[in-house]
Parts: sequence; C-alpha cells; structure tokens
Amino acid sequence: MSTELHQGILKVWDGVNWKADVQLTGSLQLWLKAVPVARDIAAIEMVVGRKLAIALFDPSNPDDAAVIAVWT
Amino acid sequence: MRTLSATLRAAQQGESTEPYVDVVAENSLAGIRRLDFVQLDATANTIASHDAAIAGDGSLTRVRSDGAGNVLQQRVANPGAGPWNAWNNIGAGKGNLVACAARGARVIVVYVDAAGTGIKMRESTDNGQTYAAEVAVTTAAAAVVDLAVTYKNTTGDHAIAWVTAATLNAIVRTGGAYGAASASGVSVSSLNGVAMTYVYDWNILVTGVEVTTLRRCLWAITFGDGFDKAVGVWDVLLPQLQAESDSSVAYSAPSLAYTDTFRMTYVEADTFTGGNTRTYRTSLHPLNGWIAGANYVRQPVPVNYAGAQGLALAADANQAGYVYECAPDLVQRAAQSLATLSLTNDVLAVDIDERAGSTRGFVELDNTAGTYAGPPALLALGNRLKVKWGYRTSAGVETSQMADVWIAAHEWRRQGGVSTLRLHVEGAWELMRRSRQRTQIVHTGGDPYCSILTRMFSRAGLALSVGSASTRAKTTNPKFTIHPQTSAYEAAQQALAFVADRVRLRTNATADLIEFLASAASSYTYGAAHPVGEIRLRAEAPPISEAHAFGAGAFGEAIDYATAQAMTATREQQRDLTSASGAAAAATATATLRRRALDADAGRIVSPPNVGQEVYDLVDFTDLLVSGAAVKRRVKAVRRRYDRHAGVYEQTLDLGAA
Repeated sequence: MSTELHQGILKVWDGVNWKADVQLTGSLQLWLKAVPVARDIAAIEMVVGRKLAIALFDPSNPDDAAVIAVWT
Repeated sequence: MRTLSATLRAAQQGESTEPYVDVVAENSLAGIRRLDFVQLDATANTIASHDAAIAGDGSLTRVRSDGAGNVLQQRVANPGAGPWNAWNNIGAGKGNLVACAARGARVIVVYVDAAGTGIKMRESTDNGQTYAAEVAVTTAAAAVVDLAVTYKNTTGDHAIAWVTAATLNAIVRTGGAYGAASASGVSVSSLNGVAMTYVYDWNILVTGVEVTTLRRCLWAITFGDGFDKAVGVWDVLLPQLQAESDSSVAYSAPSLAYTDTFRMTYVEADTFTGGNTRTYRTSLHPLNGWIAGANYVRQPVPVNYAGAQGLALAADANQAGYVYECAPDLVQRAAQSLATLSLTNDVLAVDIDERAGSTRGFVELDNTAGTYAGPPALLALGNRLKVKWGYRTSAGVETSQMADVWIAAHEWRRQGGVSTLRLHVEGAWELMRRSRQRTQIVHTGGDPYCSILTRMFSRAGLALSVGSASTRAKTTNPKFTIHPQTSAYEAAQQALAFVADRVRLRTNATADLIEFLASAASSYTYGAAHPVGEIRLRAEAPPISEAHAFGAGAFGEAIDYATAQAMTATREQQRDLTSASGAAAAATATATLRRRALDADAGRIVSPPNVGQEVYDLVDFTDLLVSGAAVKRRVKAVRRRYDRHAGVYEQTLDLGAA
C-alpha cells in the first residue's frame, strides 16, 4: 500500500509526546488523534489552526503517519 | 457454488438445452425498500416537540407542542385526503415535550407536566378517536429534556423512555401496570434527544454529548426485553455518528421506526460558517436485527428539510401501506410495499461480468411497443434487478439467482427500426465505491478485521457475514481509520490487505467474508460431464515468493521456496504496525503470500453456463492432452452472456491459482 500525503489543520498540539490532533482537509466532524510530529518542527510553530502536511505511510493506521510540515 | 437441483445440473450439462434467463425489477435500494416520499401537507405550525403514529385503521395521529404548554393532537382518518388544519388541545398547562405511538387500535400520547418532571400519558383504544383521562406515569428525578414511547403489543404493553440533562431512563407498562423506572446508568456529558421502537427488545436512539471527549454523538442502545438483553437490562451506548467538540456540529431530534428494517432520522445542526440545520435519514440492512456495534448505520443521506425538530417516522404495520415523515409543518409519505416487474419476456440480451471488486453489465429489453418509455417506475435508477440464469429442464424452468445488481443507467437505443432499452447494471462493489464517509471513522484497536469490514459494508447498506472468515480476521484487532475521502471500497481493500480472506457477494445485498483454502475440494468439474467450448490453461508463478511484514518492533516473513528458487517472482514488503510480535507479523506475511498467490493468472474456460458458478469457486477439468490428473483452478471472474437473437448463451470463467 502506498504512502498518502494529506493536508490538515492543527487542532491540538501535545508538546510532551510530540504528537498532534489533526483535522484532515475535507473532514467535517472527527479528527485524527495523536499523530506523530516530525522532530525538526519547532514546538513554537505548532500553533492551533495552522495548516499541516501529513504523510500517511499506512493510510488506514493513524499511528503509522507523521506531520512533516507546518505553515500558515 | 450455489446449490443446483439434479435436474438443473443435468440440463446445463446436456448437449442440447434451452436457455432461460429470468429478470425481475424490484423497488429496493441496496437491501431495503425504496421509499419515494410524496408531500401531503405543508401547513405552517410552530416548530416544537412533535411526533406521529399510525393506528391499525390507517389513521395518522400527530401530536405537537405549541411551545406554550398545550399538547395538540390531530387524527387524520384518511391521510391521502386530509384535512390537516384541525388540532385538538388534549392537555393545557403542561410542559413542552410530547411523543406518541400506536399499535392496533391503541394510540398513546405522552407528555410532561408544567414542572417538566412529571410524565403523563393519555391512551386511546379506538384508533385515536377518543382518549381516556390523563394518567400520571412517573416523576423524573430531574427536568425531562426529551421523551419517547412505543408499544410492544396490541394489548397495551409499552415503554416510555426519557432523557434528563445527563441520564437515560425507561419505564415499562406490562399487563396494565407500570413497573419501576429503570436508569440506564450511562455516563455522558449531556443528552438532548431520544427515540424508541420495539423489536424483541426496546431499541433506542439517543443524541447528546460524550463524556470526557465531549464529542457530539448519535448513539444506539438496547433496553432488554429478553432477546439480545435480559429483561430490564441495559446495553452500552454504541456511537453511530460522532463529531468533535470543536467541530461546531450537534445532533438532535432522533426518530426511529421499524418498517421493512430499522429506519432512522435525526437532525444535524452545523453552526460553522456555511453550515446548515438539516434532517438526515439512515437505516440498517434488514438482516441486521439491531445495531450490533459502533458505526453500524448506513451512510446517512440528507433530506431537504431544515426544521430544528426534525422528522418523526411512523409506518403502517406489516410492511404494507405507507411510511410517513412528519413535522409540525410537513407531512409526507411513501408506499412501503414490495413491488416487482417481470422483464423476462422482453429480455433480448444479458451480459454481466462478476469479478473481484466489480460487477458490471447490462440487460437489454425489447421496447418495440414502447413498453419501457419513461421508463416505468420500477426501472428507476438504483432499483434492484434479480437476474436468474437457468435452463428449461425436465422439471420445468429452473434457475439460479446471481448476486444482486442494481440499475446504474438507462440507455434507449433506436437502430434500424429496432427500439430497445439497455439497463446498465452494477453490483455491491460499486455501492461500496459510492459510500464515502462524511466523517472520519476511527477504530482504536478494539475490533477485529472482520468487525471493521462488517461495519464498512453496513455503512454502504450491505450485510457482511463473517462465519467463514479466517481466525486471523476474527481475532486480530488493528488500529484502523477510514478517512472522509476514502470510499468503503478503498477502506475494505486496505483492511483485506492484511488478511487472506476475500469477499464473495450474494443476493439480498449480502456478502460473505471467506478464507479460501488451497486444500478445499473442487465444487464442479468441466470437460467430462459439462461440455467446454474453449479452454486456455495457463501456468504462471504467483506474483510474489516472499512476503515480509514489518510490525511494531517485530518482523515476520512467509516464503514460497519453490517459486523463490525459480526466481520467477518477487518480494513484497508490508508495513503492519498492528503486529507487535514475530508470530503476529509472520501471520500477516503468511496472509499476504496467500492473498497474492490467488492473483496469478491461470487461464480461461468458455462453456455453456454453469448457472450456479460463483467467483472464488474451486473448479477442475479433465483433459488427458493437458494433464493426466484433474486440473484444479479457482474462478477469478464469471462472465455470462445471453443474446436471444444471436443465439448466444455462454459463460467465460477467468481462472486463477487454487
């Protein structure tokens, strides 16, 4: 199965475990929980509401994913 | 393979046979009756708590609150004619919550008193024409937020359910006497709506806010009456729809009725920019006795109604008559009886191809007399076609019905003075492709693959049976997410990528999850008894010889050593974070190796139709010029063609490895 790249919006930032709750663009009601975040992203940049790029290595398993970019 | 009678089997193996193809159109969408609602009334009234019920004489009882403490009741003896503007005040100085139900000649109206805690009822035993005096049912511990009532039988046993700010309760009347109120004990942040019906147990829908996560939810819950749950025992809340606390989405005003299946409505209020308040319809497959897990209900469809109190469902008994959707300012109904149209006499050609992940084809009808201009209502897009392939046998016409197909498109053809209507049809996989989630569905590791797949199919309106699934599919619990952009088909393929099982489609919008074993016995033999027009036997290596699964700190592999030595296949590596042990990862790899082995191309058989043949059947054929022993292959695809004018009646089987 191939890796998918999605755009999302940061809903919750967990700076202790370096994970994020993410609303995938196009998702109306539920968010992806506790998605691992790339360690090279500074915590100060993880502002709720900012846009994210999320790589889903296994599209069906949110644990097998990473937030790889953040922008406004 | 579908079971065939001895005479049908003999006929299809005969040297000279008369084909017979039976095609019947039916007013059902996926597994449920098609309901085409027609508006009966749209008189404006105050939008407040309301309900509706159909008594045994076919009269429609509507109740509503006017928001000023009056319980207003309306009985329309002939809903087809009205009138709709007369309301009786059967309770002044009350609260603003009402509900009603009917069974046989009994109609019950329940409401709350002015304090909002006293639950009262008035009952009619003459189909809602007159009502006995008010009866005090019970007093709630806190202000009632919503209430519902439903009968169990025509002798008057019934239950009343109500929600307060954060509790769900019910009380049952048996033999004319109310028992004690029963608290469900559910833990929620808040509740705002409840609906109930009775099918062996008390089946309940609830809307509100989940505890801790504060997600907005539409839940199902069962209050036992001795079927799925013991009498008086509550099940747990099963979320069917959820919205995050900060998603600006709220659910309310549920309604629930059992017609040909459980049908439900609810209101989703979206308060984000551009959002709307709208009623949605959803349902269950008729084979699903009641909601058996989270995310079970069919993909909700929007209704063009924006009233904040939604639509109340009511239906005539015994799947006859009508299903009604009512609000204070709307009454609409749809006929609910089964209707069929036989197309058999006009069938000119049928060509349908069934294979893994797809069923497509067409049925061509003679339209010389303009019979199918329009087309007739029963040939509406989406309606089911029952296609039965058969022969005229020594016992008369005998057929075998293939997996369901539904009408996907109409194509009228005029050529050389000939007029035909071609009905393009498609199967359950195409329904799965169109079932796209509005919301993320998250399985957090508590459900096995077979349950996840069952719910995907149920969301698409299909019933998946898992009785023949592999142990791995039944016992491995992955974390699994279905994204909003993902179709049920794509999600099913993602789940099936981790098990060796395949899905076989059946009739009545059902399917089976089955582990097809190489060691299984052949279901049918071609070449000896069954004449064959053409055989192409192909032997190729499976696509992969090594499967690697990389789990969470664990590795597993499965190897086909013979194929690997021949260097005719490749290695496939798979990520599988569900597996946390070497054994679990090895099981994933083994499943992958087996699943991919079935993908090898193994040739083709063209023959007169074996009308019971199904995709994934094991078949064999004997030909001494090919092999001294029977050659066993698995059916990858079945294409059957019938052309009355060209005299074609044949079947093409695409074969794969056993």
